[in-house]
Amino acid sequence: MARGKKTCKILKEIRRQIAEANDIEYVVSECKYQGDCLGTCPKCESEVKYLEEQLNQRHLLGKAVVLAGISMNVITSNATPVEPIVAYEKEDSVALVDSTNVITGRVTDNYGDPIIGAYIKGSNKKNNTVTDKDGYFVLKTDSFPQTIEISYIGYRKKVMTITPENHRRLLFVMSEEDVTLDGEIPVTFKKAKKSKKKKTDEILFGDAPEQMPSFPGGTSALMKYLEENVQYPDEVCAQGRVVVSFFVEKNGSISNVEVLKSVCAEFDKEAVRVIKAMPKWIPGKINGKTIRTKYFVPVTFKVK
Amino acid sequence: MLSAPIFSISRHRLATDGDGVTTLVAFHGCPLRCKYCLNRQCFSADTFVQEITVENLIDELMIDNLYFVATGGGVTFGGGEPLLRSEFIRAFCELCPKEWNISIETSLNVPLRDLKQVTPFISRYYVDVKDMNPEIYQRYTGKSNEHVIENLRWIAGQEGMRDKVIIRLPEIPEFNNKKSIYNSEQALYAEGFTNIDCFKYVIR
Repeated sequence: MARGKKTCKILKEIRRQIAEANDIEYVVSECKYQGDCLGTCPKCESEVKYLEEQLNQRHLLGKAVVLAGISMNVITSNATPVEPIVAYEKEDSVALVDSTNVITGRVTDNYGDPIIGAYIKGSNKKNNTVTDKDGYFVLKTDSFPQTIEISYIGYRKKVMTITPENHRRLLFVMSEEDVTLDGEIPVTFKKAKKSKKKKTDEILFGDAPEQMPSFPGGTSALMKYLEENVQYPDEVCAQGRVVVSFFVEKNGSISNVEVLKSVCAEFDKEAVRVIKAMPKWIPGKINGKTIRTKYFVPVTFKVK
Repeated sequence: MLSAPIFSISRHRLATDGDGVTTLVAFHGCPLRCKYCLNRQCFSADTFVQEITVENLIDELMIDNLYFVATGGGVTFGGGEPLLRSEFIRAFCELCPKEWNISIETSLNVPLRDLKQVTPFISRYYVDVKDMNPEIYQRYTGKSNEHVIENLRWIAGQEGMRDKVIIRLPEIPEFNNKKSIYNSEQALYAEGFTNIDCFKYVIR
């Protein structure tokens, strides 16, 4: 369908809803306009006029007029964006509907394959989750709007604000991180402390170098280390990926090792053991100052 | 009466930016000269530009009042750089129906006083920061990003204002790279800007 016609159709649906909400007689008819319709053909415009007149009359008669808040779903679910002022390829795509206190969605890669174990973090530090084997997640929340962050090693992090109108059946498509990142892994930075604001500002917006913490030798060395040191527990015959979170302290030591995504007790235990046994890291730096940074590493168990 | 040069009014934008049905009003004039500018007519001297007064503009946009109110939409000011017309926008907002949601698409590369003029009226800001690295910014736009940084800092310090901001962080071929984008992202994020829209400029 031509874009103009699509717009026309959506606008018609909005008119229908306004009419319905206000008990105004409105017969939906297919727009037969042959020209370049953008929802602005004479017939459509006259329908808007008609509705306005009807609403005015109701208003004059002292009847309640229902106007605000209708038809949002129509717009967001069916619309093809019309001529964005900046032409770009949007990497986020979002679907929607209804309400309760959970955010649900799915995370996939560019090919539509599920990303298992992607880390979803809400605004509240306590609410976080990871995607399941099909890429789905359910995140509990106590308030909206809620900013969530989706991260996965090797993929570019996403930050999205979730609104009450739009928090179910979300789809997040992650794009791969460029591999030339000098052995760095995308991480969640610890938020700058308020008390250090002045200093932080200079780092934040300046061109001062930022150094991410890293495993000695970079990502490939980390992968090699994991491969060589992870022992497949004898008593289990399953496969999976345990995602472990930890902090790289200012002195490079590893602390707060936690399992984010569990597979089974044996795997979790082994993953934590291997992460804890890592040599000291090179700590992250901001403006020449070392900082404490949170990291996530997936530990994969495969049947050999 | 206050008037401003407007080169385009585009109606019935559906969920393009902001909620609901919006009309884009594009102003002529921009302080930047971005290499991949998509709206060159916004600073070209040959563009057909209408000088429109605040009242006339409101009258003209009033035709979609019903859609704006019903869908939570309204008017988006773009350009060019709309904040070069901050006085006009302020006058517009003071006069237009209060149900209209006013959004603005800006580079924030204007003096802070221009931003302050409009802040009481704007419900959403789309800020195209290009890249936070001053050298990359200068190379790509021909201008320093000092104002951008100053304005972002100011916004970050205003109660509840940060959440109205959506940052556009483009990948600009030949000018920045994943690493600089990543640095920009971390910088913005640490300042508390969490609505970050990463995308890629497509060179045709």
